[in-house]
Amino acid sequence: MTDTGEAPACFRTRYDALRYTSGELSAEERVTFEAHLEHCRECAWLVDDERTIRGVFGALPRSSPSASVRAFISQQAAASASGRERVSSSGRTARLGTALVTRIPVWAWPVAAAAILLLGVSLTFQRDAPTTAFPGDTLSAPVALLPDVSEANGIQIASVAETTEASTRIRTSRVRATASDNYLDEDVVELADRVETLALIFDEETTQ
Amino acid sequence: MEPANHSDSELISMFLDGQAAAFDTLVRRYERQVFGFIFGMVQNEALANDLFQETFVRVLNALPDYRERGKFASWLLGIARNLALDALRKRRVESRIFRLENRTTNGENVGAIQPEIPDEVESQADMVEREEWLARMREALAELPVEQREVVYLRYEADLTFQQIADLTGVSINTALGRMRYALNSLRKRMNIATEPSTND
Repeated sequence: MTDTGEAPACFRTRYDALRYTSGELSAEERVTFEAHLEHCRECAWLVDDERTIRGVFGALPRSSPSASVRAFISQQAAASASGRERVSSSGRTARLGTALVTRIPVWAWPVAAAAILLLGVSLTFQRDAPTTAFPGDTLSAPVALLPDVSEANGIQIASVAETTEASTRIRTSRVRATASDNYLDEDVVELADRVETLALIFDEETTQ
Repeated sequence: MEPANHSDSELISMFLDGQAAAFDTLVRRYERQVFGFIFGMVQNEALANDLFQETFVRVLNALPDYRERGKFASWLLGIARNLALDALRKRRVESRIFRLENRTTNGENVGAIQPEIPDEVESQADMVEREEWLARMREALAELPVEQREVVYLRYEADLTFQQIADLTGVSINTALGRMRYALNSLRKRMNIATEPSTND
């Protein structure tokens, strides 16, 4: 290396000297370069400088990451590893929805379906129910949309078949109503979709 | 077999199978290199801690999709490097680089450095001189252009070869070698190291 920092004239200074110090030369290249070092001032200077700077660098006191940072990373790793283990132990990949479904008791699905249906329908009819029967519909009252319910432990439970049937009836009446006076709105259709979804999940669970 | 005896690939597989301790082993294995490199780049301990943490959090998130295309160490240092460069750009730490309170000279000639740092039997004067040397070295390193500083730290702290440094930083090996040469030249001047050939010529 020249004292002015200009590019060295010797091509070995440019390409070999530092690779010699880092151990990147092959055995043959190394022998050749060491022979060259004996008479090349530029290469000898650079090799000496590199060793000196490396020596000082190695003597610098080292900082290390703080204990709290180490602990945080360890905590994150533990959380990440446990999450992955739960998913992989089921033998399925990325079936988080399935994992969620299996944690909910089977009996809760029809209860939830019935509750959503009751809530949705009652809100809809409170808001804009007509006082007369649907035009052209065989259903004569809003209550006709509801499935039959039975009493069990004080909770009204509708079966899957009943909720599915109710969903179908809502859809049918919506088509009819739209054709006549656009009575039922999109909320009710969404509600029917949700009931159908719950019924499908319930079916899947009971068949497994 | 102890986790410390496993290869990087084995530790990654173990971690992906749910063994969190395997990741801890990886962190311990590379913390000196990664933290040393980051600290060298940003010259600020608090920021280095933040970036060190962020590096390993990113590794955690990326490991499930990690496909071994090269050395894990290079991939890890690549993440650390990107974060360090981003931090330098965003926070402009280059203009507020770390300086020692007891910095001493401007151009004071303390003579040529001895490659061997004085050992345990040091006089007080030797210790003071040594501390001055080290302080000057830190300052000189901090004042290097970023692209030269990163080559120095990747070479000396992360122990990468010049070919690995070239691959990591996306330049040719000749560029990496050139940056190191210029860095050494700047450090030598700053440290007032006498440039004298050690061989007879």
